Amino acid sequence: MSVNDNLLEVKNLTTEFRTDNGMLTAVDAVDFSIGEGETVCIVGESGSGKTVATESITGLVKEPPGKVSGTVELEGKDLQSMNKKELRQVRGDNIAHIFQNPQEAMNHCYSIGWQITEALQVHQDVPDDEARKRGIDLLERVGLANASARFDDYPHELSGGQKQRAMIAMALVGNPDLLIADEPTTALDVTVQAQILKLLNELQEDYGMSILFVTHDLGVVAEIADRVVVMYAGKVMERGDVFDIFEEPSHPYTQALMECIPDKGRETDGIPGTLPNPYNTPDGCRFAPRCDHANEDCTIGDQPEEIEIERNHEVSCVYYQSGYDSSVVRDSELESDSSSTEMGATDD
Amino acid sequence: MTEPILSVRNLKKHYPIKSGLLNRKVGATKAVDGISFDVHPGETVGLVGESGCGKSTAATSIIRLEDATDGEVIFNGGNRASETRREDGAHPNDVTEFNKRELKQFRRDAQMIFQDPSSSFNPRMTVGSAVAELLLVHGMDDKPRRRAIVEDLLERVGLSAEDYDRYPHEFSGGQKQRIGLARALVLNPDFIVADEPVSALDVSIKAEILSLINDLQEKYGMSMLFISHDMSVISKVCDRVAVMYLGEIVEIGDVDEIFENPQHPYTEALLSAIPTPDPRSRNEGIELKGTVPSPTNPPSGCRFHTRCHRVIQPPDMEFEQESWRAILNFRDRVAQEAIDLESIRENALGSQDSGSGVTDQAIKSQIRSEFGIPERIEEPTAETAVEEALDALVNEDTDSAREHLMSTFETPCETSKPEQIEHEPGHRSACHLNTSKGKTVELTPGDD
Repeated sequence: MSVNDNLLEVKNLTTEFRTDNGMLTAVDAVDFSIGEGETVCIVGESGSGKTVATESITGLVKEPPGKVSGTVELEGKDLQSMNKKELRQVRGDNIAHIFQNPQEAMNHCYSIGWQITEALQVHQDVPDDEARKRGIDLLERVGLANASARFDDYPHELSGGQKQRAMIAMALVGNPDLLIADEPTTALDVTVQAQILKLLNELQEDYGMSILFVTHDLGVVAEIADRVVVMYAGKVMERGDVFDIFEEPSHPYTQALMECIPDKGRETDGIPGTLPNPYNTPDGCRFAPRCDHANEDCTIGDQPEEIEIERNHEVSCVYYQSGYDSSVVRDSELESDSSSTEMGATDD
Repeated sequence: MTEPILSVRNLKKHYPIKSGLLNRKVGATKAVDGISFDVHPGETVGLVGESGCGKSTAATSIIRLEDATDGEVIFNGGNRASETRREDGAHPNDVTEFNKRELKQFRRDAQMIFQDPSSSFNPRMTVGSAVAELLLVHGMDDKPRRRAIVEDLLERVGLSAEDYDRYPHEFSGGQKQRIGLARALVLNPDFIVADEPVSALDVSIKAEILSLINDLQEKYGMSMLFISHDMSVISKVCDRVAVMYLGEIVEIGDVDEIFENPQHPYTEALLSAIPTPDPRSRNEGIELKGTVPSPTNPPSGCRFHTRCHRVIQPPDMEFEQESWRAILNFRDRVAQEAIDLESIRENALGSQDSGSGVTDQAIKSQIRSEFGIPERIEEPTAETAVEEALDALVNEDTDSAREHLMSTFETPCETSKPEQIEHEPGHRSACHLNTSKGKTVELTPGDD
């Protein structure tokens, strides 16, 4: 993976929170990168640190009680070392955020048009009528019917899907290089979800921006991602090309998530157990307490190092380390073709 | 066939729209507009549709959290079995006619699970007492016994007896939904309405709760009405499914039948909206554009015709289905006078160099491209009508544009209401396309 091409480079990102019960580590030494025009999905259950990781990128984590360390570089510039003013310039201009619940992310007291043009006029010196025109164009672009009339509507006059479209317009107004979408479709109907995903794909083609997409739903990942990062309890479990992840899910956690996708004729009970206590994470692999294949080596030391099992496909599981038989975890019920066993244990 | 536990006939719920000084009724929002279906003992029936199609209103009207406007809901659970109609035609088990005493008894035999487990619990009450409260209300005075029952139930839904004394905020969303299940089960009901019980949950938790619901149903044998917008969830728990659109049931049948052989285009679209866990099959499938129209003024004929991808073409014309849909969309927008010529002019200007202005031709082709109408429609009559309408539009004569379009383009879908057609026993749909595929059915208002 060539480092220089990347738009965003996150290294060793750790986010902790000081709470009454002690230090809580939400994101623990996570690395990932996003290339230009690429869509990267972070996927995991609630509580696995996906949202905190994305909020740490743009400095949305309140410090204190939060504490963010590690480096976040956007086109080579370190965001962590920026002061408030510089960061404000980056937000909205280079990086834009859309949130899960458009109802809560909007200000009820202002029209959506006002909120869209505000984002524009904060960053650029644009006269009011020009801003209005651009706002209406954008609303049209995101598929809000009758945009010029809806421009002066208030958030409560729009449906959930329309609000999410308006949110996307708000995010796009500064023409960002990176769009961070935090579960943008989770609160929506399946049909509207399909519309929004299609829209994001189209917009990405038109504007050439990169997207960092956070979701718990692998079905959505399959629709939109180029690359996937699977997170669990603040750690990366597996990462790779979307095709590799779906055709050869290699970490037991990824496999368990795959099994959760509701599908006719497949019996699934979810993933037994819950996420580990964030104040006191278990030794060894974070997923070991819920893993079917866990042995005693899984519960000592740190999270296993990520091992590249094929080009750009990395897994953090002891079974892929030398001396282990990776076919134990590879041959889950999902994988039935024999080719996967032939690859055998990895050599690194 | 055994007697159904719940039999809904022609249920309607209209919300009046009032306005003016005297608060006169000026119209009605027809949230539920005449639905009929049965739920048999031990069966789970799904009610599926987008938001705004009236499925939650149907649920609350059935369970009488709201009073229905019209229709019957006959509930034969509890010890109400084998009642027959009185002489005046009324049924003693009609929920919509229950008096206060009967209603309290009904509330014991039918329970509801809500979508958002966080907002359906009192944050100042321990979860144990929230569940035990139902027992108290229905007359169980023995406090230790109440506690024992609830503790046992908490264990059955996968929590522990010690959780009795904890408060709702100490639980995760999935755990709260388990408590919601315990609360629904504590009175040992015959019938449960579950209103989107898993849509606020993560996929992994969702799978867990769905499998718990299946287990509990097997154990307790209750019947269920399960409401969801997600076909994939329906497939996990339901035996039969009713697809709702704008207050009406457009298709009903066995889950397997509906999944393998959907007869209504709306069902087809809903099935196609399920994200497939296969990155190689992206962007395939039917896109359902827009949202459910307002139930205040629903479209005529088949209510789905404004969004249907299979909308029927006029008998004397033949188009690409896509162009036909585009022309209809254009026609509807013109009829609503919602064409913004100013912005179209600007868009057309954007595509060429700015200067003196835009030619009428450029505006016309801009309109065509915005609606996806091809530059030349093969059908000559259609082409003439579209062209004439565009000319009228450019000259800001909306009325004559509308006339041109309305007189030429008319789909059978909007002129008459489709009948319910039976495909297989128990599998019905209401779509004009299926008229030749089966025989029409008339649901009898009797006891099955």
